[in-house]
Amino acid sequence: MLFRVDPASTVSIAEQLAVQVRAGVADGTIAPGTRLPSARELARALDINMHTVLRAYAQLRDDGILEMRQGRGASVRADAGAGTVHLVELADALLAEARKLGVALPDVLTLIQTRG
Amino acid sequence: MPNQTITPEAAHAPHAPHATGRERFAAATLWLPVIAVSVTATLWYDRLPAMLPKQWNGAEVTSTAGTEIMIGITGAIALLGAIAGLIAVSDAAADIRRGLVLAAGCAAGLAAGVWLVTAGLVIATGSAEPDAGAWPLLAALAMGYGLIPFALSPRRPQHREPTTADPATVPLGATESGAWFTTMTVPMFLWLAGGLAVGAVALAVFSVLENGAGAGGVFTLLLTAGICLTFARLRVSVDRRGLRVVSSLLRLPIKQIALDQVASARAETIRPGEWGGWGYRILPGRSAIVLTSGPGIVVERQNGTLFAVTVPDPALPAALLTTLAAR
Repeated sequence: MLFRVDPASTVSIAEQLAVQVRAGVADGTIAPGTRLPSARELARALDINMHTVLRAYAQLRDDGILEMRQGRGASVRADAGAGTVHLVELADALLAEARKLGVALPDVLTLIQTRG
Repeated sequence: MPNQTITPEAAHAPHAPHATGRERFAAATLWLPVIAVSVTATLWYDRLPAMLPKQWNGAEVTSTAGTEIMIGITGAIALLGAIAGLIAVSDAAADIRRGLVLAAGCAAGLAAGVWLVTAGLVIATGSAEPDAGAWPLLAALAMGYGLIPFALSPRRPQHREPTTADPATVPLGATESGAWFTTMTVPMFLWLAGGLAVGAVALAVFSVLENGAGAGGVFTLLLTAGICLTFARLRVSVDRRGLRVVSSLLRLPIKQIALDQVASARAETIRPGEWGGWGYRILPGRSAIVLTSGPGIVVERQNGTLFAVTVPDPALPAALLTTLAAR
């Protein structure tokens, strides 16, 4: 698993890491169940702040891609795959569109719930 | 190739793994201890008592061993040395040939020395429990016999496969940093470690019940279990700190090669036979951590030595290591 970050980029480092894991899970290069390096280890390897890595991992956990267990570190969820990643991307697109139209988040949620 | 200079020594040194005449002669000298033990054992057998001295404390014999057992053990060690010599002349052992004949010669020399000194003393003095004086020292010096086949074997130049193409690199931006990780698990080592640990506990209970018998065995079992556990799960990483192999379960660093030591890295197929087997292997000029037969990263250090570690999909980490080292 290759991680690369560019501090000179306009995209935040946490986002750069999250994008790479998402892309890896989506194209199958990161298999479900794969254990990610610990936040401390990855931070040392890339010479970045550990909290930056934790922020990226937390984002991926909220997206349903990673699971984090005390003492066992982060690993890719068994049910994570291209589908999960696509769903997260659709949700991002939906939110972006709602923001553009000035629709508030509770209204978006209601919109989804009435269809569920 | 303009940079390559051939020294006269290198020009005459053997390149092919095939054993040269001198190397065959060196290996043949390992039969001398076998001949010495078997001929003297045959000649002296009728004149020797049933028991021979084994240990001395000053002039006093403190323990003895049966004559047949003594012949059997010393003869078997000498024979194993000679057989090791046969293995040493095989093509697969080319890189370790010199070291192997040295070790085999030392073991065979010591075995023959112990036999000759012990039996010789009994014959010469006519006593079953003779005063040894400084003679056991001679038996220990017989270990130096290994230096004879060692000196006869010519030094082999470092065998290096010619690199046909420049090693691959990863296109990293000037401000970009990269890190690569993988974890390898060998379930067999986990089971083995568990089994050995259970065995150690059982032996420890036995040892307590039997007043300390087998305490050394407990230690050996635990040590072996520890080694199995160390290699059961390995994390290999390539980043700004270089190539690192860490035991994931014991959090123990096993190997680290800093970037400034790396000349180049490439992906290769690792055949355990060529790297001395499985596990952590150390050979002259190269070392390796071999868990499977298959793809692996081979790192060439600035001092010309090689290090290999088996990993799945080694092309990317090898390219990253080359890229980071070149910065």
